[in-house]
Amino acid sequence: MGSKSSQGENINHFNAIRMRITGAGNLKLRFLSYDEVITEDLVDLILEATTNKEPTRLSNFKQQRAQLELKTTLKNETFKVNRILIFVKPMFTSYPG
Amino acid sequence: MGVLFFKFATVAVVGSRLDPGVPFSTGWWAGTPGVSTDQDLIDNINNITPYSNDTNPFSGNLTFELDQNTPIFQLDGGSFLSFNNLPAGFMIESANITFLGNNIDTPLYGTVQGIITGTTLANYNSGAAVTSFNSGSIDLCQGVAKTPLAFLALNVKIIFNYPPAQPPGNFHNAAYHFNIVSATYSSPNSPITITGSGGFKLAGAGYNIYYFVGGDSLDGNIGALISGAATVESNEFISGDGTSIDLEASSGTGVQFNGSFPFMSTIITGSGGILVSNTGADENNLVLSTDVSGLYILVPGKTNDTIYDRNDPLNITTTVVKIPDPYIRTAFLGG
Repeated sequence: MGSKSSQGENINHFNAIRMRITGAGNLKLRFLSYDEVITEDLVDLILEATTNKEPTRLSNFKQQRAQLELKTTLKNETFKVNRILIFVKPMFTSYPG
Repeated sequence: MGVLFFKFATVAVVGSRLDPGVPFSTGWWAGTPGVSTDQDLIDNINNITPYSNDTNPFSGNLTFELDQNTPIFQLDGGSFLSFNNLPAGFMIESANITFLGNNIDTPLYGTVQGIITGTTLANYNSGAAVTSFNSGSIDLCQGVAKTPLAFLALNVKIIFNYPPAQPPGNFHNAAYHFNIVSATYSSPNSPITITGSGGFKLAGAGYNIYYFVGGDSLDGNIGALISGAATVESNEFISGDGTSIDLEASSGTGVQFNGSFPFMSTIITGSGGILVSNTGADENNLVLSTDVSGLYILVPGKTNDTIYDRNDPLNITTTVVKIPDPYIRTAFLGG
């Protein structure tokens, strides 16, 4: 994870997510930058009512800050999230001045 | 425009030969001059027996006496109507009168002219030798539609001219008769137009409107509701339990229209509505919708939305639809 507070504007590499999630249907995963200028759709996650796994989805999203969106799009699809892990590694300190 | 047929009740025949020495009625018309029937007139002209070798022209005036109560007008082959029963605005568009010479053994010479109040109509015949005068006609209306009253008041002067250059006697050896062989009429639009939504509107003011619901009894006069071309919907009739309404419009010249139209199907539900405007003239414009939405009912475990179709209040059906793309977003991470 990034810093506890906004102490820097490093350019980070959001490279994976892992979640404890149950439900039904296909979960749409997407990273979004500020103002949704840049987005990246991840591979859908097939939801199960019960599971013993916390699946991981890889990503390759490089932004200073990012937002993760979870969404279903079909009738009777549901999801319940208990925990989200987002793997982030700082890559650069700033854009060229 | 329809086809009009005349049956003249009485016709006045007033004739005079242009030669003042010989009255037109003496020897020229076999029948009795003066007021006679249309058949008399036809018979008279049918039996012209002029003096031989006479080259003088002769003429006669035909007038049609107005009889307002005798049915003499036949519209499109229907029953005969009197003048008083003609629809308001009835106009005679054309009335072709023709003269027939029926002696084909002797060549005919001369022309037949019609004069109506100073207007000379086209010659019926050019004057060339023909075997009959049946190749044309004279339109008494001359392109100007006339009211029945104006038409019956026409005084048509008919002139038979004999060309001096032709051998005497030939013209007068012929026999002639005339008749109105074709006529057309027009009638104004019905004073009432039935609208498709179960109402009616008038072409103008000046009519008394009576309506009958569920029978022949006179239920009311709704003339007060009528204003010019305003549309009156059937839901303005608050009485009656029938499915249609009989309507009768009358003006100063009698009944102008009678007919019926069905009540329009109207379902007003009082279970909901939208006040679409609260200012100005429309402040009371309440719109009732037949498919107003209901409130959400929270149901544990429910994973969709349910829409209630209220178009048929007596048989409400439901449709299950998805919840529009539920989603969550984390806060912005990184920094």
